Amino acid sequence: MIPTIAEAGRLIAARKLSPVELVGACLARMERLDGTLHAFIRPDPEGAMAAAKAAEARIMRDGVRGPLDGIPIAHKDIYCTAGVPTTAHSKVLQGHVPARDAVVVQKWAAAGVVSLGKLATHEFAFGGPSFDLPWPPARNPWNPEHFTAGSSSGTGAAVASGMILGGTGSDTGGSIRGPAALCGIAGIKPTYGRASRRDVLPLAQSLDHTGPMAWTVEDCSLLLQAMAGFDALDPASADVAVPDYAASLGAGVKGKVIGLARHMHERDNPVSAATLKGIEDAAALWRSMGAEVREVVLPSLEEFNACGWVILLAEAFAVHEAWMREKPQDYGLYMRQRLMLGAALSAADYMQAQKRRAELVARSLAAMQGVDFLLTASAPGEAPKIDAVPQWGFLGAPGFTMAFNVLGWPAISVCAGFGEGGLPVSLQLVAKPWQEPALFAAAHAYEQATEWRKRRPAMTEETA
Amino acid sequence: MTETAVGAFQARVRQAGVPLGEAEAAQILPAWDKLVTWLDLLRQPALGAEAEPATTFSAGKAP
Repeated sequence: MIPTIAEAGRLIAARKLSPVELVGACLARMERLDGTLHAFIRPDPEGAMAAAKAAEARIMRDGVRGPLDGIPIAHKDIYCTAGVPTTAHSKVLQGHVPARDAVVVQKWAAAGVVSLGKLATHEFAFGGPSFDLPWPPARNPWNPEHFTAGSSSGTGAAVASGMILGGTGSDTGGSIRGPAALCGIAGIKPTYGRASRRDVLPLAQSLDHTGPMAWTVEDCSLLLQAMAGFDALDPASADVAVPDYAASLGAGVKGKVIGLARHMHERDNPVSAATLKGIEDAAALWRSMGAEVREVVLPSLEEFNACGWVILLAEAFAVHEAWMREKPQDYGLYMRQRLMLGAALSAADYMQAQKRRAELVARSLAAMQGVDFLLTASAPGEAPKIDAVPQWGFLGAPGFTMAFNVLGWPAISVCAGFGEGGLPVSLQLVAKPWQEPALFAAAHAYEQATEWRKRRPAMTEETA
Repeated sequence: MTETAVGAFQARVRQAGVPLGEAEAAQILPAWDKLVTWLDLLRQPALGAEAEPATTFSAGKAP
């Protein structure tokens, strides 16, 4: 049995669970499974066990710092870690050893987490799945022949397989919600400016968000609690008070209005039958809990994706410009060729996209007047095979996640059942800026009323 | 794809200071063609748009 963070935290606080035993169990899963899953590019079992022993001694002496004390986690390898290589899964940064931790890494460390190492990512959170990088791509624990989605691929695989109980992700166009969806876990992209990005390697600064991924919504709320807050040195950070997410987790959805954006998942990019059933069943469930469900129409996914991807490509090229001039062959094929698109864009192209972005925000706010949440898909269906993922997939059928990076609104992906192939399907619930407490409450109510959290990938059950 | 189209794309990338051979430019061209359709879309008037044009995303607060 793999505990959730909330369960493990309660047991550790009551001194009924040893952090050393908990971390040891995760390390045993890592040793057994990661040769197949490749979730870690830099595991640190010795460091983790030493940290677990230190945490245990401190907890026995002083009591717990909070619900994350002694909890095994790991960081995506774009989060800088002092004295530990941070490479973004790329040859370009091999040998890069940061002098300091990212702010989020510091905050989680202060909460008492135990880090088990650094996790796989698509190259620089964009180029993947790639087989021409120094490390292989992560694979899906529900079926290792299948894709995790990206870019927080290692976090998705490691959480779903129980190698860690939670981890960091980043989300510029869906890189938290995509892997959460395909790996059958929960992942939230919070409001733009909610959590610091300082010393997290950037992809596109006006779209980049940091956020947590975990098995449950409740665990995501605990992790976001410890990472949220103002950072004066992150230019996007917002000086907005951080609410107590746990306090409102049981608030439910009575009286809330859920906007069902059918056009997104039925017309703009039609989803699988299992995904559609998951969304419709969730709408019915929330209605039975006292919410009103009504249809809403926002701008099309195509328009959001056109806007978002032009901004992302232009800003990403600005980040990588010097290296692309000096050593383009050090990138994997996918990353290099995607950055070439950014190199070809003009300043006018970029400004047209930013102008459209302001219009999309205004039109979306108007469409959501009197509506608390937007409900749609987070992925079209189950994970495809990893060797069948097209290089230019983001330019194909418009994805469901970029819209909410363009808007900067908080959005969470949760498991909504399983498809014909036995892999998870998902739904996405979105709220307006700073409404994370209500978003967590609605998603938690759904999770509590469904059976999906009782099922883990078969490969992990063998080791339970 | 035409040789002219490949050359035009290659020139755009090289103008940014990035080396790009003809063969690799030809590989990327179909993706660029799709991106161009999005650039055209972004230059069309938005339905129901009432917002003032923005010069940047609102750093420091939600959009």
